[in-house]
Amino acid sequence: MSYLNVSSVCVDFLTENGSVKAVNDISFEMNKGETFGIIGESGSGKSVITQAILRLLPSNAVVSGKIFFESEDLLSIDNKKMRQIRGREISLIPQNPAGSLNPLLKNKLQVAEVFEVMGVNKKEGIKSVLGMLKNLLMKEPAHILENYPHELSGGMKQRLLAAMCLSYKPSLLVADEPTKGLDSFSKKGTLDLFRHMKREHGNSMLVITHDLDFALEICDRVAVMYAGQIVEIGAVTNVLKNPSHPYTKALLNALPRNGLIPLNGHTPSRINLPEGCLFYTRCNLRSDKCGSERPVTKSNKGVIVRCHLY
Amino acid sequence: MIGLEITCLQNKSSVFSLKKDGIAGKILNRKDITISILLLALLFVVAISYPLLDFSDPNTIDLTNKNLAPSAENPLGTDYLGRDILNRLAAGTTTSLSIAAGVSAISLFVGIFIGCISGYYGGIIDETFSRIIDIFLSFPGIVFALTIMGFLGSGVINLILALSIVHWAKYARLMRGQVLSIKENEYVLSAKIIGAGNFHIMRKHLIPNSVATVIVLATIDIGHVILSIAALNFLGIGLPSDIPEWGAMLSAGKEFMRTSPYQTIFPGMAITMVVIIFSIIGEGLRDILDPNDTGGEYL
Repeated sequence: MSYLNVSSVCVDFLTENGSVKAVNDISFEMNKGETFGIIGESGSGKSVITQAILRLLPSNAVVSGKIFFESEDLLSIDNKKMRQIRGREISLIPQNPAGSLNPLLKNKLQVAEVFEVMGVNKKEGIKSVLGMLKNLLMKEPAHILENYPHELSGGMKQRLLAAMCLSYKPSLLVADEPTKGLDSFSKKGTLDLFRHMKREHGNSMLVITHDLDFALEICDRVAVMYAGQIVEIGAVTNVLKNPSHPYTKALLNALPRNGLIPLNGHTPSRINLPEGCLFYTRCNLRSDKCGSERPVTKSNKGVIVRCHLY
Repeated sequence: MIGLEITCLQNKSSVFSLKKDGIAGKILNRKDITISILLLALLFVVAISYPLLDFSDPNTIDLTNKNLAPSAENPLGTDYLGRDILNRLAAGTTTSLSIAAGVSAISLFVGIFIGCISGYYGGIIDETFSRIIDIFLSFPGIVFALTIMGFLGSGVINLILALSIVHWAKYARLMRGQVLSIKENEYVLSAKIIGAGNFHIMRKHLIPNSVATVIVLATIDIGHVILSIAALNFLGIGLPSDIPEWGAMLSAGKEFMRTSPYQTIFPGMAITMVVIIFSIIGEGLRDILDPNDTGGEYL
């Protein structure tokens, strides 16, 4: 049994206008020690998957399918068991470091909270976080812990959160868009941070990103998502150097160094999904079959791709 | 000339802006709040020291000296039973402030607790508590308090209970609204991510981040509570007659309004003053604690 196994997961959000299919039949596997990336544009359902894994979706979400972590069935265990897995086994570096620290608490107390929740001695916990912060290339960690969150820069907050997430040595670290809203210099810092975490702590990591270069640098395997479906999955060099799916190709063409060619059109409505391929209206390699029949996943040249071309 | 005046004003405001650091500086910047706080402090001194110091009994009846105008011996005059009005007003300060403090403490505690649970859990729990809050808010406060006092009978504890039952729902509703918005913050999500329990999240994140607004409302509300105490006593249903209280003094004095107006004027002034003080402090706190407030432009 693989380490993290997500099979046929669908997430629907019930809204007044009907149910929104945010994630539509997703399956992937992750091995221990592996860095797995999920890439795709905004709204493709990347973050929803992480929240589904940690069971943190809002109450109007309906999740179906199976998520196995080691041997636990994450979707059926009770809340108490789930709370023990969160933080201890699976930890998440949230999307927005600035909003993820309570503005009223000194950083030291935020960090102490982790240990309070875990039921560990706070002083020792803080000491281990200090070591972790030093490890994460941060200067004067003791000084930083005495500050309030608003006194830190975005990158420092991210490191602090990473240190908090790592401090209990979770076996799986989930990072939700770690490079979102950062300038290229800070991005490099984040990249160093993740490389460091990978090297020093040997964590298995699930990285959600829409930064293709970042994914190329850090991930072992990636999945490309479009409109709630995985369209291509495989080793990072295969997928990003030699893309199979027209959407992956379009994503790469939209990079500045590849000519900044925009992808026309919009993602389909997720309330009434079209009958055929979800990418049909935007695809420049479409055929008649694509408009009427939803493609299934196929193996091709070492990657799994969801397209009628293969 | 006018230009010169404007420059002067600007200079003045820049001098003032030097003082503006921290909450204390902001309070000192606003004269109305400073004065109100000083007056409130005075009232607190009276309320606390009165029972401790050995004054003559405010209930001493002296029928030979009834309905007197203010004089050296009785600075605010005497009432229809010859009791010293100043003495009774001072004793009434203790009564009003201690009851108001009790009411605020109980209703704040209950309101914050229920509002937080209701807003955080949502769903059926929220529906249930919200409807209960609606029911409590749907009665006019003073009529509701009168009814409860009718059931409970007069007395300090009963009065505190009755007014708390009337007031908690307001705080609960405000708290619920605050929690509804605060709980969407990502630091609540990150607390969940590290595996924090619900009560931990409420205690550490939700209550500290939403309580300021509720406390501001409670400060403004203390004036109303004191007014309610006075109103219930004016209607003769609050406290037993041996406890001096401003509303009761007002009620007793109204028969002698023509011949000896001091029996109503001074308690009336006391009630008005306290209500105004708490309103100014409450609204001032609201301005000062508002993070979007730039400070200063109060003319």
